[in-house]
Amino acid sequence: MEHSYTRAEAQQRLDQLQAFRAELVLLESAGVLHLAPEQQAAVQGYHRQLQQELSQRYDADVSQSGKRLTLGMQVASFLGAVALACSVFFLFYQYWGYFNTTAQVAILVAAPLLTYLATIGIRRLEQTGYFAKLMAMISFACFVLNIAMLGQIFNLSPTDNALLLWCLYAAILAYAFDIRLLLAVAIFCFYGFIAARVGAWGGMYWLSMGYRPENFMLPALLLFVIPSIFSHRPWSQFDNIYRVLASCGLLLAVLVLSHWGRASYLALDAGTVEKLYQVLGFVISAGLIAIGVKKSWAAVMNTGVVFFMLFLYTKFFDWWWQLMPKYLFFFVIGLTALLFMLIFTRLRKTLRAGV
Amino acid sequence: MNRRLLLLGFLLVVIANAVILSRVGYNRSGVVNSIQFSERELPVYYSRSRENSGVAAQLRWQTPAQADDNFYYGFRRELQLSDTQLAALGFPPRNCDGQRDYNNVREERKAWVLMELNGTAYQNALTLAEARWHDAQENGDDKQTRRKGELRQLRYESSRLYAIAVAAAPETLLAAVRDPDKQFLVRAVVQQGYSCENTVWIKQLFIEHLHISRERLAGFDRLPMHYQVEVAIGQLGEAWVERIVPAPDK
Repeated sequence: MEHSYTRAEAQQRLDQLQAFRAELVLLESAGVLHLAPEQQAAVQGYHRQLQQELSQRYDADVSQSGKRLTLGMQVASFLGAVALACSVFFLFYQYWGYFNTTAQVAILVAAPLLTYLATIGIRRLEQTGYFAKLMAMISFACFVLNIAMLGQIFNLSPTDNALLLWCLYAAILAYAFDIRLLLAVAIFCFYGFIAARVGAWGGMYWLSMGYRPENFMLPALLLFVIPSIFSHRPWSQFDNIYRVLASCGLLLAVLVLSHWGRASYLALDAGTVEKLYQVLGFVISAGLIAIGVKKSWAAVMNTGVVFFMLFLYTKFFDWWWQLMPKYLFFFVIGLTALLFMLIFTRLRKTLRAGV
Repeated sequence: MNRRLLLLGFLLVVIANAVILSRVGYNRSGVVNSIQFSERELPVYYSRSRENSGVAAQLRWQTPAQADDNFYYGFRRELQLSDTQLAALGFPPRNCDGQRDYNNVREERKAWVLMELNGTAYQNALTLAEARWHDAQENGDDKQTRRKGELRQLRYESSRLYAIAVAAAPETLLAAVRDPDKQFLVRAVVQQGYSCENTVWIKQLFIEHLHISRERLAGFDRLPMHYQVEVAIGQLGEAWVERIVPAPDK
């Protein structure tokens, strides 16, 4: 019984237990299997104890309605966190002009610290963690406000170091309280920071990082390998978030460059750069599909599929939108979707045969 | 909950704020320049949105006008440099065969800009505008009203602040400072110009927006029509509003 689970694993274990019970009933009614009364009692006792532990210690849902309520709480918690973070932001903006500088600084410094302590306190008091996650989001909003407004109050030159600070704080909150949304925020800030730094080395001001999409490729590759280097088992879905956001970052940069070759560092003609990135886009997205299938990373595979189709459709648009009648253009798009379905059906059969 | 991680989060907030406030303290520990602007150069604006109670001022400036351009309204941002000056900023030589080069991403650099308030550049602009108005009057052409408007605007309304030189290091520009009350250095981002004639585009000055604290506005129910804003520039080149006073009667 002394086994350590994450919440997702606990829920999976509980689902497995309930599936076993349902199957057992069917097996008994079909006359395939009959457990002796003492065996039945032993299994039921074990399951009762396990169910109690999983539900109390890991907040796993015992029933389908419980699961639906959990999903509802997640949605409410997300919306509440975003709304309250915005509220804090606008509250300060509405009244900051009425305070003197000392009061402004005191409020700005105290807000993230107090909300941080409140997050820790709430997490200790409540079992589910939803309220703590909500408070953590508010704390992050307060920290963003803190750094941005200090810059504004004291007329400081804008710096990409702010992105690094926000990245670190979001990551600390994400890992400490298991918050996927803040991990995604940390990843976006990380993208921004690395792209800004690489851009500055390449002769751009950091705020112009968007002019050089290649700057986003290095952080994307780094992010993709992070969950393979460090195990993220204790955190729910963190490895997926890393891989999907890394894939999206890399492929979006490739997609932009496949239409805007002038933005590349490559000392080639813009048209050649665009063709090069178009090919690279297909290769990378196909590669992601292959890795996703091989490693059973469903999210990575889906990201690869989406981008493969995106690259394909943008090429179709370039080639045929002007030439073809619209009904024929969409018919061709529909046919390629059917082709993809056939390919995936074959793939599924191959996978089933391999099991 | 991981105690070390929690401690790290707390320390991050504390250290980040300590570093920022120390930087502010160091910058303001010595005044490198103190400049007095009028509402023409540094208009104070209250946010139009009722959601923002902050007050700020925005620096209005331009680069010197050329005889053949029409930029009298404060939007000119280009400066002409020599090959040596351009190379000193770290810009690679352009290769666009005399054509305007809109196609490539233009490189940017952090640099220092020498600003001049109500000095030679402004007087030159006035002389140029007067000459253009006289030309229009003598030729009797249809631009008379426009030229007169330009001259009036330049005399009484436009900013008299001009960016007159740019360099990678402040030392290069300090040697050119003749009147410290009217000339000062600011940090900026400069970008290679579109044209192939060794121009740079001053993309952003780091002191363009200045927050005005409540203390500085004390004593004003509303700002008078004409006022003076004293701006100090500190050790790190960052500026702040020292005081706002009504302009003396002329």
